[in-house]
Amino acid sequence: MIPLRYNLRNLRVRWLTTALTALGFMLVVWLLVLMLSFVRGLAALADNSGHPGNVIIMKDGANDELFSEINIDDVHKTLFSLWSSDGTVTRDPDGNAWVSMEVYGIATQELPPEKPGDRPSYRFLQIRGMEDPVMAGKVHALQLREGSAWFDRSGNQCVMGNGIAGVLGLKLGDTFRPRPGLPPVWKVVGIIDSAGSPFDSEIWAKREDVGKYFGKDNEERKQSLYTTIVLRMPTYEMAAKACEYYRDLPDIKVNAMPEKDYYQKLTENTRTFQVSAIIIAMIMAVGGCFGLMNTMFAAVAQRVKDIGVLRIIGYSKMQILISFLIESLLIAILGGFLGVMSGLAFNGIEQRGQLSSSQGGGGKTVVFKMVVDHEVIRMACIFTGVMGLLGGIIPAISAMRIKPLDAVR
Amino acid sequence: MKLLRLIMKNLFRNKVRSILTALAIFLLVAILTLISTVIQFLDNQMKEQSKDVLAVVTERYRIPSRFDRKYMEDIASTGSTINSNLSNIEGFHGENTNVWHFTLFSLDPTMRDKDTYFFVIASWPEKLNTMVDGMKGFDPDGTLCNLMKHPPVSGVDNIGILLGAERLKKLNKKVGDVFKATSIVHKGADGKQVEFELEIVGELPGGSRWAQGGFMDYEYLNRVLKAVNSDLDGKVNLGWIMTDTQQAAIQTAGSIESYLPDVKCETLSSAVGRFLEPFKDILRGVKYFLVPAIFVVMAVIVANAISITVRERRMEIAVLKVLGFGPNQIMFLILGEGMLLGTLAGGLSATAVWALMNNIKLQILFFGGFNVPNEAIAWGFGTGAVTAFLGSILPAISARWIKVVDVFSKVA
Repeated sequence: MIPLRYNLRNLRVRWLTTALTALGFMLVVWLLVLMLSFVRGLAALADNSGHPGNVIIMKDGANDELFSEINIDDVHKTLFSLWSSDGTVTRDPDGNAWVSMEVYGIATQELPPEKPGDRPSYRFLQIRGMEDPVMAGKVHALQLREGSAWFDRSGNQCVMGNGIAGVLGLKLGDTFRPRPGLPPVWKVVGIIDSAGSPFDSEIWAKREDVGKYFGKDNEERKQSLYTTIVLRMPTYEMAAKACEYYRDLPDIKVNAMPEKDYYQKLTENTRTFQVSAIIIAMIMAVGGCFGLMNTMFAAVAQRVKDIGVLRIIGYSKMQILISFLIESLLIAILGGFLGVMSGLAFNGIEQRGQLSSSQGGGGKTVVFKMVVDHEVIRMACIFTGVMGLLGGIIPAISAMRIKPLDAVR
Repeated sequence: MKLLRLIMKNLFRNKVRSILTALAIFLLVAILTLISTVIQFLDNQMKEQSKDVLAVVTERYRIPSRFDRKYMEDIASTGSTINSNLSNIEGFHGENTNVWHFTLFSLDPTMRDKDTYFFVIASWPEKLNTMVDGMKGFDPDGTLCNLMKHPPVSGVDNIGILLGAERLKKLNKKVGDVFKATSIVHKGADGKQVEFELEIVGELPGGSRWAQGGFMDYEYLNRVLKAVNSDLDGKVNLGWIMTDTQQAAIQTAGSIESYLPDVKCETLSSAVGRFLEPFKDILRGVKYFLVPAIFVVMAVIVANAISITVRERRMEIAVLKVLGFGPNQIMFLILGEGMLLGTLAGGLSATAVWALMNNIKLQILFFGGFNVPNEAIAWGFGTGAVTAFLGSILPAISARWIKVVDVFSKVA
């Protein structure tokens, strides 16, 4: 039998030490939840980006859409006929292959000076030109918000992700110029329900306009270019197989990869943040452990006589060890519980981050939400338990080794 | 002096507690030092320089930027309209301009093997030493510049390149190697990828921002692109201007943008700031949330340790009072114990981080290896001292108020 009531009474009597240790623990666990929710948010972004059945085709050698250029004529000469005859590509009931041909670019938008006499500042806009926005919506599994419509072929309409609409302060029916004083002038006819996806920060418009106005056409050779072609296969496995086929085409050299893998690679660059967050959390946990150890050593030192009496009345060494371990765990659990509870406040907080290839420059600005889910709570509980045990074990061993007669003498 | 000896004695009396508290402070100050210096480093990248200010010229509306080299030639050439205008700006010098043209090479002619890829910037060799961020003073006597123009092994003018130490190792190449590389970026009029002959004439330092990349002579790139009638002939990705002062850079940028509507010009620091914009939420969270929270954790750990000490030593404190120690001396004794421990642990921690990180040369984003500055050691001592003060002040005040009568009445 473990003297549990004795432990609880001790915690209550030394309330200030218990409270301070638990407070330290609470702060450590709270920060741990913060770090883990950040890491989970980034991981969720990677998981939610890209459709498992999608194949993304770019220029050979390009790992990022931004640096990809595929001549439209080449696509029409070679790839088009492949899709027409390929029975594995997902199709509409009327037989149209689910293929989206796109040109993606980052434009610099000039912002008016904050004060008269100041220089203008700039911000990046992610712009995607689409041949067929309806098909693009199907391929990327994106839907429009209520009251929205896809843009038409007039060249004066666009749709945009919910995130960028908020940043630009635009709503349905508003018009704006991505380049001040210059064409195009776009009316926002649709807001994409894109929260948590990389398309949240994108503006979609007619492919020809994006190519023409944002330097994605080869003016010297009078050629139009795609940066990206995305086609839908029924499964990830079929998508992976299709990629091998496209990479080995003799007539056109392209880089094809499953869209999931593409985004996974882009999110790898956020790994520095994830690893840093975990390292910081671990070191703080060790720091918290030392704090708990301090408390428990003090508890043992103050209760040498108590321990001696407990041993004399029949408690075994193991029971003393477990008793002190339980005490340290109780403090950890109290702090951990409060830490997790207050950490729940981080759930859903929006953060901006960037996905970019190692080729440098630009990148996709994404908005992700910090996630405090059962996985984060489970990790925080494990940390709490491990820290409580580690912080208590050495003082508990020292308590266990106290000789009863020496202690009461 | 007597007080200091007493403080030391007390710290040594409970070695386990002192060590545990010091270890906790050590770890937390290490994290704080690291985080604070990273933030400071990024802030410095966005801070405007006061002299030799670099301004970057880019295509106005698109990324990756690409524009006619002619614009830069106009800016630099005496007699052009824009140069005449810019020359009126005090601190602008037409000769302090440079161009960058990005190239990605593959050693594999089929371009399938991505491990053989390497990134090179074509630029004017004589500008590397003065106008490339992170390369200042790298080639003070111009030896490498001369070798790029006149490589010794091949004897072919302008084919010399400098490659970063880490990239050389990855490609299994060394200084003196002459080889052919296929450009992934450039095609000739025949639609075929362009091949270049290159000779490695120097190594860029490992751990620097250029450790993975390289520089080649723009003259050679230009020659080859012209010969194959590439559509990128005469194009550059970035232009650089170095002015004497910040004011001159701002005036130059304004003037260039009003004369050349196809390009934009901004100081390097503001361009860096824009690239770091997506990370601002994260950096702000670290700066204003994580750093203060770590401070609080440290203070709580110290407060806990010191308050335990005070409670354990009530009797001793009462005896000291009987012996003539005043309340303030008691307070300073307790405060001194906490602060000495905190200051030493904090200082040692920052010193350890300084020594470790300056050997590892951690790379942050697209910047080069980052250093923990020498001042971080002083900050470590200070951080340890301040948090220990905050953690110890309340227990020290409570020790000050210990009443001799209360203590001895309980004993009796």
